[in-house]
Amino acid sequence: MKKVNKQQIDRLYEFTRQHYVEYYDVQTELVDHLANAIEEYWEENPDQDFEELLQKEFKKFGVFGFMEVVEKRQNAMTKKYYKMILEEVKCFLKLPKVIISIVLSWICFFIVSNFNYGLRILAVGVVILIFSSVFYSGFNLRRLKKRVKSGNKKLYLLEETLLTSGGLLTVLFFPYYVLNFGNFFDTSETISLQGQIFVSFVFTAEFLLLYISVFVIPGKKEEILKKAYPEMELS
Amino acid sequence: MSNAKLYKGSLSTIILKLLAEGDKMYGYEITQKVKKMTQGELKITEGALYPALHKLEADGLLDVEVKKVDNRLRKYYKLTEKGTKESINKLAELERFIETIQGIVNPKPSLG
Repeated sequence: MKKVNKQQIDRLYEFTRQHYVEYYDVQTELVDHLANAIEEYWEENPDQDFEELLQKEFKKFGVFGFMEVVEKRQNAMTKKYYKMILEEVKCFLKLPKVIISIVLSWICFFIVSNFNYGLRILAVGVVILIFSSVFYSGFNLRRLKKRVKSGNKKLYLLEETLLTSGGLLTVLFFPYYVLNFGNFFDTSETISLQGQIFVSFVFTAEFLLLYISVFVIPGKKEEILKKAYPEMELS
Repeated sequence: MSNAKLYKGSLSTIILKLLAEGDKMYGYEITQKVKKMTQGELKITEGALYPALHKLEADGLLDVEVKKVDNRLRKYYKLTEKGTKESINKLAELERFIETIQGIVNPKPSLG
Protein backbone atom coordinates (compact mmCIF):
# COMPACT_ATOMS: atom_id res chain seq x y z
CA MET A 1 0.00 0.00 0.00
CA LYS A 2 1.27 3.46 -0.88
CA LYS A 3 2.25 5.51 2.16
CA VAL A 4 2.78 9.20 2.75
CA ASN A 5 6.55 9.78 2.78
CA LYS A 6 8.71 11.93 5.01
CA GLN A 7 8.76 14.94 2.64
CA GLN A 8 5.02 14.79 2.33
CA ILE A 9 4.65 14.71 6.12
CA ASP A 10 6.80 17.85 6.26
CA ARG A 11 4.57 19.39 3.63
CA LEU A 12 1.50 18.54 5.77
CA TYR A 13 3.07 20.28 8.77
CA GLU A 14 3.77 23.28 6.56
CA PHE A 15 0.19 23.18 5.30
CA THR A 16 -1.25 23.30 8.83
CA ARG A 17 1.04 26.23 9.66
CA GLN A 18 -0.13 28.03 6.52
CA HIS A 19 -3.66 27.55 7.78
CA TYR A 20 -3.01 29.25 11.10
CA VAL A 21 -2.25 26.28 13.29
CA GLU A 22 0.79 27.39 15.24
CA TYR A 23 0.75 24.75 17.96
CA TYR A 24 2.77 21.64 17.33
CA ASP A 25 0.42 19.38 19.28
CA VAL A 26 -2.57 20.42 17.18
CA GLN A 27 -0.50 20.25 13.98
CA THR A 28 0.61 16.71 14.76
CA GLU A 29 -2.91 15.43 15.20
CA LEU A 30 -4.09 17.09 12.00
CA VAL A 31 -1.08 15.83 10.03
CA ASP A 32 -1.82 12.24 11.02
CA HIS A 33 -5.46 12.71 10.12
CA LEU A 34 -4.70 14.16 6.70
CA ALA A 35 -2.08 11.50 6.02
CA ASN A 36 -4.52 8.72 6.90
CA ALA A 37 -7.17 10.18 4.64
CA ILE A 38 -4.75 10.55 1.73
CA GLU A 39 -3.53 6.99 2.15
CA GLU A 40 -7.09 5.79 2.03
CA TYR A 41 -7.65 7.54 -1.30
CA TRP A 42 -4.47 5.91 -2.56
CA GLU A 43 -5.78 2.52 -1.60
CA GLU A 44 -8.47 2.95 -4.26
CA ASN A 45 -6.22 4.62 -6.77
CA PRO A 46 -2.50 5.05 -6.00
CA ASP A 47 -1.97 7.44 -8.90
CA GLN A 48 -3.95 10.30 -7.41
CA ASP A 49 -2.00 13.49 -6.81
CA PHE A 50 -0.93 14.23 -3.22
CA GLU A 51 -1.68 17.96 -3.35
CA GLU A 52 -5.09 17.46 -4.92
CA LEU A 53 -6.07 14.96 -2.26
CA LEU A 54 -4.82 17.27 0.46
CA GLN A 55 -7.05 20.08 -0.78
CA LYS A 56 -9.97 17.68 -1.08
CA GLU A 57 -9.55 16.50 2.49
CA PHE A 58 -9.01 20.01 3.83
CA LYS A 59 -12.35 21.08 2.38
CA LYS A 60 -14.05 18.62 4.72
CA PHE A 61 -13.05 20.80 7.64
CA GLY A 62 -15.51 23.44 6.44
CA VAL A 63 -15.20 27.13 5.60
CA PHE A 64 -13.21 27.96 8.72
CA GLY A 65 -10.67 25.25 8.03
CA PHE A 66 -8.67 24.27 11.08
CA MET A 67 -9.62 27.38 12.99
CA GLU A 68 -12.45 25.77 14.87
CA VAL A 69 -10.30 22.84 15.88
CA VAL A 70 -7.66 25.24 17.22
CA GLU A 71 -10.20 27.41 19.00
CA LYS A 72 -11.91 24.48 20.69
CA ARG A 73 -8.54 23.08 21.64
CA GLN A 74 -7.67 26.39 23.26
CA ASN A 75 -10.91 26.35 25.22
CA ALA A 76 -10.27 22.80 26.35
CA MET A 77 -6.74 23.66 27.49
CA THR A 78 -7.90 26.77 29.34
CA LYS A 79 -10.47 24.62 31.11
CA LYS A 80 -7.79 22.13 32.01
CA TYR A 81 -5.64 24.96 33.33
CA TYR A 82 -8.40 26.36 35.52
CA LYS A 83 -8.98 22.91 36.93
CA MET A 84 -5.33 22.80 37.96
CA ILE A 85 -5.70 26.21 39.60
CA LEU A 86 -8.79 24.99 41.45
CA GLU A 87 -6.92 21.96 42.75
CA GLU A 88 -4.17 24.21 44.09
CA VAL A 89 -6.70 26.57 45.65
CA LYS A 90 -8.28 23.60 47.42
CA CYS A 91 -4.88 22.84 48.96
CA PHE A 92 -4.89 26.30 50.51
CA LEU A 93 -8.22 25.55 52.16
CA LYS A 94 -6.94 22.35 53.76
CA LEU A 95 -4.30 21.68 56.36
CA PRO A 96 -1.44 22.46 56.39
CA LYS A 97 -1.61 25.24 53.79
CA VAL A 98 -4.82 26.68 55.22
CA ILE A 99 -2.60 28.18 57.93
CA ILE A 100 -0.97 30.34 55.24
CA SER A 101 -4.43 31.47 54.06
CA ILE A 102 -5.50 32.33 57.61
CA VAL A 103 -2.30 34.25 58.38
CA LEU A 104 -2.56 36.09 55.06
CA SER A 105 -6.19 37.06 55.71
CA TRP A 106 -5.25 38.23 59.15
CA ILE A 107 -2.41 40.38 57.77
CA CYS A 108 -4.78 41.89 55.20
CA PHE A 109 -7.36 42.57 57.89
CA PHE A 110 -4.71 44.08 60.14
CA ILE A 111 -3.60 46.46 57.39
CA VAL A 112 -7.14 47.44 56.42
CA SER A 113 -8.33 47.98 59.98
CA ASN A 114 -5.27 49.63 61.51
CA PHE A 115 -4.00 52.01 58.91
CA ASN A 116 -5.87 54.96 57.51
CA TYR A 117 -4.64 54.16 54.05
CA GLY A 118 -4.66 50.41 54.58
CA LEU A 119 -7.10 49.62 51.83
CA ARG A 120 -5.27 51.87 49.39
CA ILE A 121 -1.96 50.22 50.20
CA LEU A 122 -3.39 46.77 49.56
CA ALA A 123 -5.32 47.75 46.44
CA VAL A 124 -2.34 49.48 44.85
CA GLY A 125 0.00 46.71 45.97
CA VAL A 126 -2.10 44.03 44.30
CA VAL A 127 -2.43 46.07 41.10
CA ILE A 128 1.35 46.45 40.97
CA LEU A 129 1.77 42.71 41.48
CA ILE A 130 -0.76 41.91 38.74
CA PHE A 131 0.93 44.27 36.29
CA SER A 132 4.36 42.87 37.11
CA SER A 133 3.02 39.37 36.48
CA VAL A 134 1.51 40.43 33.18
CA PHE A 135 4.83 41.90 32.06
CA TYR A 136 6.72 38.89 33.32
CA SER A 137 4.50 36.45 31.42
CA GLY A 138 4.57 38.67 28.34
CA PHE A 139 8.36 38.65 28.47
CA ASN A 140 8.49 34.88 28.82
CA LEU A 141 6.00 34.39 26.02
CA ARG A 142 8.04 36.58 23.68
CA ARG A 143 11.15 34.63 24.53
CA LEU A 144 9.37 31.35 23.86
CA LYS A 145 7.99 32.55 20.52
CA LYS A 146 11.42 33.73 19.50
CA ARG A 147 12.84 30.28 20.15
CA VAL A 148 9.96 28.74 18.22
CA LYS A 149 10.57 31.07 15.31
CA SER A 150 14.24 30.23 15.15
CA GLY A 151 13.29 26.56 14.95
CA ASN A 152 14.88 25.56 18.26
CA LYS A 153 11.64 24.78 19.98
CA LYS A 154 8.15 23.55 19.26
CA LEU A 155 5.20 25.50 20.55
CA TYR A 156 2.73 23.51 22.60
CA LEU A 157 -0.65 24.98 23.33
CA LEU A 158 -0.71 24.08 27.00
CA GLU A 159 2.73 25.59 27.48
CA GLU A 160 1.44 28.88 26.13
CA THR A 161 -1.62 28.64 28.38
CA LEU A 162 0.61 28.10 31.41
CA LEU A 163 2.80 31.06 30.48
CA THR A 164 -0.10 33.42 29.99
CA SER A 165 -1.95 32.06 33.02
CA GLY A 166 -4.92 31.25 30.78
CA GLY A 167 -6.14 34.84 31.10
CA LEU A 168 -6.41 34.54 34.87
CA LEU A 169 -4.48 37.76 35.44
CA THR A 170 -7.23 39.72 33.72
CA VAL A 171 -9.79 37.99 35.89
CA LEU A 172 -7.93 39.29 38.95
CA PHE A 173 -8.94 42.83 38.02
CA PHE A 174 -12.55 41.79 38.29
CA PRO A 175 -13.04 42.67 42.00
CA TYR A 176 -11.81 46.16 41.20
CA TYR A 177 -14.70 46.66 38.80
CA VAL A 178 -17.33 44.98 40.92
CA LEU A 179 -16.44 46.59 44.22
CA ASN A 180 -15.59 49.85 42.54
CA PHE A 181 -12.52 50.32 44.69
CA GLY A 182 -12.09 53.80 43.30
CA ASN A 183 -14.95 54.94 45.51
CA PHE A 184 -13.60 53.02 48.46
CA PHE A 185 -10.56 55.24 48.40
CA ASP A 186 -12.43 58.38 49.38
CA THR A 187 -14.08 56.80 52.37
CA SER A 188 -11.46 54.31 53.38
CA GLU A 189 -11.61 55.41 57.02
CA THR A 190 -15.25 54.55 57.37
CA ILE A 191 -15.51 50.97 56.13
CA SER A 192 -17.65 48.85 58.39
CA LEU A 193 -16.19 45.85 60.17
CA GLN A 194 -17.99 43.49 57.80
CA GLY A 195 -16.59 45.45 54.87
CA GLN A 196 -13.08 45.18 56.29
CA ILE A 197 -13.41 41.42 56.75
CA PHE A 198 -14.81 41.04 53.24
CA VAL A 199 -12.06 42.99 51.48
CA SER A 200 -9.47 41.11 53.51
CA PHE A 201 -10.76 37.85 52.06
CA VAL A 202 -10.87 39.32 48.55
CA PHE A 203 -7.23 40.41 48.81
CA THR A 204 -6.20 37.07 50.28
CA ALA A 205 -7.80 35.33 47.31
CA GLU A 206 -6.00 37.69 44.92
CA PHE A 207 -2.63 37.04 46.54
CA LEU A 208 -3.12 33.30 46.53
CA LEU A 209 -4.27 33.17 42.89
CA LEU A 210 -1.29 35.28 41.85
CA TYR A 211 1.08 33.07 43.79
CA ILE A 212 -0.42 29.89 42.30
CA SER A 213 -0.45 31.11 38.71
CA VAL A 214 2.98 32.73 38.75
CA PHE A 215 4.95 30.34 40.97
CA VAL A 216 3.20 27.08 41.84
CA ILE A 217 1.89 25.95 38.43
CA PRO A 218 4.90 27.15 36.39
CA GLY A 219 7.06 25.27 38.90
CA LYS A 220 5.32 22.07 37.87
CA LYS A 221 5.47 22.90 34.18
CA GLU A 222 7.67 20.04 33.04
CA GLU A 223 5.60 17.45 34.86
CA ILE A 224 2.32 18.88 33.53
CA LEU A 225 3.55 19.09 29.93
CA LYS A 226 5.03 15.61 29.98
CA LYS A 227 1.70 14.19 31.05
CA ALA A 228 -0.30 16.17 28.51
CA TYR A 229 2.13 15.61 25.66
CA PRO A 230 3.70 12.17 25.63
CA GLU A 231 4.98 13.04 22.14
CA MET A 232 7.49 15.49 23.57
CA GLU A 233 9.81 12.59 24.23
CA LEU A 234 9.30 11.10 20.80
CA SER A 235 9.73 14.12 18.61
CA MET B 1 -25.35 16.41 5.83
CA SER B 2 -28.93 16.37 6.90
CA ASN B 3 -28.54 14.26 10.02
CA ALA B 4 -25.62 16.24 11.41
CA LYS B 5 -27.79 18.20 13.81
CA LEU B 6 -29.51 15.07 15.05
CA TYR B 7 -26.41 13.30 16.21
CA LYS B 8 -24.42 16.32 17.28
CA GLY B 9 -25.50 16.07 20.90
CA SER B 10 -24.64 12.38 20.97
CA LEU B 11 -21.16 12.66 19.50
CA SER B 12 -19.32 12.43 22.80
CA THR B 13 -21.45 9.44 23.80
CA ILE B 14 -20.59 7.72 20.52
CA ILE B 15 -16.89 8.35 21.12
CA LEU B 16 -17.06 7.03 24.69
CA LYS B 17 -18.96 3.96 23.55
CA LEU B 18 -16.40 3.14 20.85
CA LEU B 19 -13.53 3.56 23.25
CA ALA B 20 -15.28 1.44 25.86
CA GLU B 21 -15.53 -1.37 23.35
CA GLY B 22 -12.09 -1.20 21.92
CA ASP B 23 -8.86 -0.32 23.58
CA LYS B 24 -7.39 2.90 22.28
CA MET B 25 -8.22 4.70 19.06
CA TYR B 26 -6.98 7.63 17.03
CA GLY B 27 -9.12 10.33 15.47
CA TYR B 28 -9.24 9.09 11.92
CA GLU B 29 -9.93 5.55 13.09
CA ILE B 30 -13.01 6.77 14.97
CA THR B 31 -14.48 8.48 11.89
CA GLN B 32 -13.87 5.36 9.81
CA LYS B 33 -15.30 3.01 12.40
CA VAL B 34 -18.52 5.00 12.72
CA LYS B 35 -18.83 5.16 8.95
CA LYS B 36 -18.39 1.40 8.70
CA MET B 37 -20.73 0.54 11.56
CA THR B 38 -23.52 2.68 10.16
CA GLN B 39 -22.86 1.71 6.52
CA GLY B 40 -21.93 5.28 5.74
CA GLU B 41 -25.18 6.65 7.12
CA LEU B 42 -23.40 8.54 9.87
CA LYS B 43 -20.36 10.55 8.93
CA ILE B 44 -18.57 12.30 11.75
CA THR B 45 -17.14 15.52 10.44
CA GLU B 46 -13.52 16.30 11.17
CA GLY B 47 -14.43 19.74 12.43
CA ALA B 48 -16.67 18.20 15.09
CA LEU B 49 -14.65 15.14 16.06
CA TYR B 50 -11.46 16.77 17.30
CA PRO B 51 -13.14 19.46 19.39
CA ALA B 52 -15.25 16.70 20.99
CA LEU B 53 -12.17 14.60 21.71
CA HIS B 54 -10.33 17.58 23.17
CA LYS B 55 -13.24 18.45 25.38
CA LEU B 56 -13.47 14.92 26.73
CA GLU B 57 -9.74 14.98 27.36
CA ALA B 58 -9.96 18.28 29.25
CA ASP B 59 -12.82 16.87 31.32
CA GLY B 60 -10.52 14.07 32.40
CA LEU B 61 -12.54 11.35 30.64
CA LEU B 62 -9.84 10.52 28.11
CA ASP B 63 -6.15 9.96 28.36
CA VAL B 64 -3.69 10.31 25.50
CA GLU B 65 -0.88 8.18 24.23
CA VAL B 66 1.42 8.97 21.34
CA LYS B 67 3.17 6.45 19.13
CA LYS B 68 5.38 6.77 16.14
CA VAL B 69 3.65 5.03 13.24
CA ASP B 70 5.25 4.94 9.79
CA ASN B 71 7.02 8.27 9.71
CA ARG B 72 4.61 10.31 11.77
CA LEU B 73 3.28 10.67 15.28
CA ARG B 74 -0.12 9.26 16.09
CA LYS B 75 -2.18 10.34 19.04
CA TYR B 76 -4.32 7.66 20.62
CA TYR B 77 -7.19 8.23 23.00
CA LYS B 78 -8.30 5.85 25.70
CA LEU B 79 -10.79 6.00 28.53
CA THR B 80 -9.70 6.98 32.00
CA GLU B 81 -11.37 5.41 35.01
CA LYS B 82 -13.68 8.39 35.20
CA GLY B 83 -14.32 8.03 31.48
CA THR B 84 -15.34 4.38 31.85
CA LYS B 85 -17.91 5.29 34.49
CA GLU B 86 -19.14 8.22 32.45
CA SER B 87 -19.54 6.09 29.32
CA ILE B 88 -21.99 3.84 31.20
CA ASN B 89 -24.03 6.83 32.40
CA LYS B 90 -24.01 8.52 29.04
CA LEU B 91 -25.09 5.38 27.22
CA ALA B 92 -27.99 4.83 29.61
CA GLU B 93 -28.93 8.46 29.06
CA LEU B 94 -28.84 8.04 25.30
CA GLU B 95 -30.90 4.87 25.44
CA ARG B 96 -33.55 6.62 27.51
CA PHE B 97 -33.54 9.46 25.00
CA ILE B 98 -33.98 7.07 22.09
CA GLU B 99 -36.95 5.45 23.87
CA THR B 100 -38.50 8.84 24.49
CA ILE B 101 -38.15 9.86 20.88
CA GLN B 102 -39.55 6.53 19.81
CA GLY B 103 -42.57 7.25 21.98
CA ILE B 104 -43.14 10.44 20.04
CA VAL B 105 -42.36 9.16 16.57
CA ASN B 106 -44.08 5.86 17.01
CA PRO B 107 -46.62 6.16 19.82
CA LYS B 108 -48.05 2.94 21.19
CA PRO B 109 -51.82 2.88 20.95
CA SER B 110 -53.24 3.53 24.39
CA LEU B 111 -55.69 1.08 25.88
CA GLY B 112 -58.03 3.51 27.55
